[in-house]
Amino acid sequence: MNTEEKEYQKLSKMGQSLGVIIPECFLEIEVKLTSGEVCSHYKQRSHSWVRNAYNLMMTQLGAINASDVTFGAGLMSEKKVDSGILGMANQMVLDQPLNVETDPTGYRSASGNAGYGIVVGSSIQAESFENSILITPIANGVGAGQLSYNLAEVPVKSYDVPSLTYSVAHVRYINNNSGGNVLVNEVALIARGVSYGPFLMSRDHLLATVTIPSTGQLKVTYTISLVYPA
Amino acid sequence: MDYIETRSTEKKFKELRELGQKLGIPIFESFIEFEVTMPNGEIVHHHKQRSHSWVRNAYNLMMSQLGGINGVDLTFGAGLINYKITNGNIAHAPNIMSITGGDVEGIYDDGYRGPAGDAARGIIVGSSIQAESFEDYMLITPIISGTGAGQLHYQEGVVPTKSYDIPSKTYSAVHVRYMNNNSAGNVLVNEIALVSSYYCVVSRDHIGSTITIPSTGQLKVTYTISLVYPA
Repeated sequence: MNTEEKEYQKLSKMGQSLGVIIPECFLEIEVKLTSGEVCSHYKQRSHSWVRNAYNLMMTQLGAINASDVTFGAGLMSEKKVDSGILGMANQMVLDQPLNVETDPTGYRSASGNAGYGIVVGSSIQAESFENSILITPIANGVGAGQLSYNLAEVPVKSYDVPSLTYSVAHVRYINNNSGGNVLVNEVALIARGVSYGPFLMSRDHLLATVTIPSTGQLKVTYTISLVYPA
Repeated sequence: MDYIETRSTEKKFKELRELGQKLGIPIFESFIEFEVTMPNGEIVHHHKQRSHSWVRNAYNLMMSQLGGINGVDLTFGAGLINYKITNGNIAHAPNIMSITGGDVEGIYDDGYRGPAGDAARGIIVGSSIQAESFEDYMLITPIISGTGAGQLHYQEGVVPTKSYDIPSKTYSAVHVRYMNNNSAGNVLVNEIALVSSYYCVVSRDHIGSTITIPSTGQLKVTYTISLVYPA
């Protein structure tokens, strides 16, 4: 176990002991060929809740509005993927009070939609807390450099009794029907935001370029966990 | 003002805060301040402590919002996502959970802003000395609003104030409520809760030591909820 992973685990245990909420997030990448061969498969921590995610949590648990009209340090607002700044006389919500598991809302994106949910891109630019969109999103389609985004899976929820950890896994399959390789370097989790438009919650620069050969299928799994004190 | 947390507790929280900031994990902190003032301006009690006690409802709220899942389970407890509201009922729906989702600052009975005379929402206090439990969903012995013996008159929750500390990159929301003792005798306070307008307790604390509010005295409670940002 590397030093950073030890620190994550220490943080988790300390949070549990002190009664502080510690959300964790993992990202799993798997590429399969039509033959069933797995040509790439790895898992990493998602390190990168962005400012929107922090603001969402602060407005929810702190019970305040996200009413600032500019975005940045010390301000409570939402930056949408179109770069518009949304200040509202309301709390931020991941989505309106909707069914975020079975309807295409929340993180559960519709088929062919690369505008929200789990989406991928090709940029190798490092992560930034100020990210509000993928740097170079890969569009939905069958043209060169494009991928076909499936309807996201219904999230799978689980609870691990020994560690008191509740987890939800969001999965999306993305197919390469382009005729050539498609290179993926960044992954994002984008909330749909039915009323105001999509906003980025997390963006990760992948540890290494993931090549999706023609006819290959990329499976992305985001697992978000919370360790409960009891 | 007395700050009653021990040095070793503060050291742990400092380490937690710094580690969370380094790893990009949001770390919430919460503090409660109690001040009792007499009509002549004399302060007869003033202390501050950490709120240690986000309850299961608060964790479920965060899991639902951040995880993008519904609060749909019919029973309450470990491994289940929903709210247990103050009357003991389970609030569940095939929807994402929220504190309210509405204007939590400007409307007097939304968010944590309890309406005047309402001891069921917002910042509320009680007299029980029972220890905190993660499963708490209500005060054990709430002090109701009124002027009778053992009662307090709850004022409307103050509009929350927000601030940002640049050196520590910490954003804070401050919720305040005043409660007056218009009864003829002392009122003893031992527990406190933060309750949303959906009648959902997110935090209950057993107070470090009994707070006595003399007749005609006023209790001011200040909840400060903070989040340390990485940048």
